[in-house]
Amino acid sequence: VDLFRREYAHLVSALTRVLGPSNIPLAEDVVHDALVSAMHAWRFGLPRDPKAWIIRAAHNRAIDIIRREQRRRSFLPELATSTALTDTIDAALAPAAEGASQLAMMFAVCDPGLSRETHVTLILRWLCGLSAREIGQAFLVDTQTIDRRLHRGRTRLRELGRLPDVESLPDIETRRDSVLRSLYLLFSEGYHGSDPQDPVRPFLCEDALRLTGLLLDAKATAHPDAHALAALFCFDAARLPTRLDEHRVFVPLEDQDRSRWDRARIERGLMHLARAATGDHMSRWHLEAGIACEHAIAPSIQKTDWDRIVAFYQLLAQQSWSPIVALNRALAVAERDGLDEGRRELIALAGERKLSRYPFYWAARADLERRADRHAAARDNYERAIALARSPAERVSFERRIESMRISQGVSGPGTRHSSSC
Amino acid sequence: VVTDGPYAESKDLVTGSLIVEAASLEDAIDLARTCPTYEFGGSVEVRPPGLIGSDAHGRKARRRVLYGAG
Repeated sequence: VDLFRREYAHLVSALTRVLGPSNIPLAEDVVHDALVSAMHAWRFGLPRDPKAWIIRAAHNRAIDIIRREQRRRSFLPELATSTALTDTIDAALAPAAEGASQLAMMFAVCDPGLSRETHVTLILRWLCGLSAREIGQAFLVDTQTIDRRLHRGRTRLRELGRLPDVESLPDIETRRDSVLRSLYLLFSEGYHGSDPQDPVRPFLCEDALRLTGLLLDAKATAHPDAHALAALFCFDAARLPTRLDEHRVFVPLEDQDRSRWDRARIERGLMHLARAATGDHMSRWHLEAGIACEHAIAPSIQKTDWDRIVAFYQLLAQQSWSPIVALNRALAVAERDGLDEGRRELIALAGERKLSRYPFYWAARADLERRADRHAAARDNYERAIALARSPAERVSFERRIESMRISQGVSGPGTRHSSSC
Repeated sequence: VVTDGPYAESKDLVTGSLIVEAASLEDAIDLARTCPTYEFGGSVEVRPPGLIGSDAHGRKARRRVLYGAG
């Protein structure tokens, strides 16, 4: 399935580059046909090189369709004669062009004239190979909304005669920022997303990492910010294996088995962080990577460098304050300075509209109350978090906390000292 | 798109499984038996403590009784 999604992304980008952005639907049809024929042909066993098989099938299908359509549509001049056609398609589908065509597609869809939501939608469709229905599920949006965004994207791209190479884009800086932000949203959706049945989806994180790698492979886009984002992804992805337990409920950081974190990923993160540290520019990705790094390399919560984490959040809040950043800083302050200081910061955020509907705000309030042994206040806050929970995994993890307080109160007696702990 | 980001503090620190501290293994097992999760087909695990002592921020040493939902 991953091979199909990835080849879909690769081939749609490569064919759009030769057919022109006005022919995206045609490119999608060619790739769709190639994948369907692969599914039929592979019923009784996989070919030796499945990827090459799919590319070959798309190659043949593209040539058939272009020949048939040549009278009715206008194609780029290099597709006019039959030998030129074969050579052009060969070159476009060659392994050497694989990264460049997807990079060109990614920068084309992150058009300043389109909204952020549309950027992410188009990346999920054309660079991750998800269907409109799957994208709708991933973001809790109905399929019509996704179709409308795809339509806006196609219309905008049609205005381009060809998919430009990234080096030649006049607004490459603006687009790069949009690409990085979209990849961050994609990763975030995989790390902790909105699908109620499946809140952690590592494949979206892997795709975000793969697409960030495309930026780092090309000279024009291998910016320190892209390295910082790659570092952030590596540190957070390293922790994915321990975030859910066998019942698919969230495990608190303190109980996550750090020996199961992916060491190789953390090493790669450190390498990217070092390469991000060129120039004098400190983006929000640098700061978030710094925070994620402290968590990834710490041996325990107690031995985590909360000083540094609070300092990074401080800078992040100065640079791009948001209620979410303030919430996370408050929790880091609670670890560094004590529960009361953290609690004070959280209460100061009570007026934020966005947070009042955010389950983790109430869970954070509840957590500090619980650890300060104010169980009634903790329970009230957990109940608000439960009412707002977006998935069973979130809800059950909050219910367990209430349950833990009930049990620790209900059965206390001489000889048994128990406390719930974070 | 809800843009909250993959932050460890809000996403990992405050979610939780149930951990109860008991003075001895026997107490822990007794405690585990009372756990209401059984009514929903859940399970309970008794583990020895990983940490000893208490830090400044309200975390204490414990014997762990962890349980999972259904």
